[in-house]
Amino acid sequence: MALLRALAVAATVLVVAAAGLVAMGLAFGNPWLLLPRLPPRSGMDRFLLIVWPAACLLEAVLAGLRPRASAMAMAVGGAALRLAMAGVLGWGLLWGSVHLRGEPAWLPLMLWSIGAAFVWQVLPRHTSQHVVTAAVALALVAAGVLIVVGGWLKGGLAALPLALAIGVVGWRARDEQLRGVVIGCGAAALVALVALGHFFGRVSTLQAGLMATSLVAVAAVAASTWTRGDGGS
Amino acid sequence: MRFVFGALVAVVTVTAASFVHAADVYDYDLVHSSVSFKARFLDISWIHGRFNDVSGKFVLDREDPSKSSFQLTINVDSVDTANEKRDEHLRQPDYFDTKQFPTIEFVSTKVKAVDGGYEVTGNFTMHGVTKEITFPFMGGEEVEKMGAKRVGFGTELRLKRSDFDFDPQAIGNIGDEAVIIIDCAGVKAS
Repeated sequence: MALLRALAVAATVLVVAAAGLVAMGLAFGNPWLLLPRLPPRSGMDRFLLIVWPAACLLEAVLAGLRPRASAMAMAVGGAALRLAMAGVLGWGLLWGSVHLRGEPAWLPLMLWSIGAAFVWQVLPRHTSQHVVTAAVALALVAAGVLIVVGGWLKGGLAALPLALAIGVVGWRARDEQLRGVVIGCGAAALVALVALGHFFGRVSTLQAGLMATSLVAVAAVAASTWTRGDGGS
Repeated sequence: MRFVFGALVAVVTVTAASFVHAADVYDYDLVHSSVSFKARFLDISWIHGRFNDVSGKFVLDREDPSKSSFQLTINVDSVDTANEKRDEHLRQPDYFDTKQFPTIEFVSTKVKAVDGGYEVTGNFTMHGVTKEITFPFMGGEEVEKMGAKRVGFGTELRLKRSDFDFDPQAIGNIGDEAVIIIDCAGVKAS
């Protein structure tokens, strides 16, 4: 019995180590996947050159304002700014595509913007939790896998270096504000990648919906009193 | 006097009209045409495919060929390589990115008559990149068959995908150069 248990533990460790090594290899070996082309004509190029930097900039600005503003002002102002930004960035992601020609896909875009703004707003407010950083990084990996399974290899693989960066920087960040910025950037990358997979790849509405629901669940968990009490700061 | 003048004007008008020729307009005949392509696989063989949804228009001015024009629009989502999974991958951003660039288009800017057809210069747009290309478009003789006036043209284009900003990482197993074979018929527009 003890031998079986030892074998099971050893097998588990081996599998986890192997999976970790493969993931690290892909993550470190594929940073060139994040090299955008100029001018940014594709959705991925616009995500890397415009959408994600803009979202991260907003996060940095909000983090800078946090010590100077009341909690209420930050919550309301942050939500409004993130919602507005999500709408503009969603439009930017789809720029020039079939989704904005003829009869534009306003409803999916609006729903995405609202959901994205919710996830984006809730996660960075709970900056003290390492579990949120890990959840965002894992969700990025999951989104990447979903996009790859949908058939867009580069789009999915590009999520891995992002997940690694968010996970490592967020985990190592001692400063709570910096961790909040990292989580905010990760949340923005996450919702943008799901949108890219759906609107440009072949991630179905159901898959995108399930992914979005899981993101909202992560956000809800992050917002829960239980997790707040479990925080690491 | 007024009657004579009116009759003279009418005669001149009719005579002049008989000398003015109109260019012939032909619609792309999807049933009797094909736009196909082939690309090298691992540099050992060729992968063949075709686009099933193509439209276009040819305007032929036989008196003054420089006034002729050719226009072709290919719906990239209609790519067909006889393998549904590969077709689905070709539609994705790794290759054609059809949600961003749904069509391949050609619009001529200069047409010159040559022996056996035309030399056509125009703007070829694929994957969001427009390049000027020149190619011989052989054919153009009109026949009247199956209740309509018809013309046919054919050509082969050799294009490098790297010139059209395709992902360099997607140029490897499948070669950079693609051969596009256009064999098309036009039906005279009524």
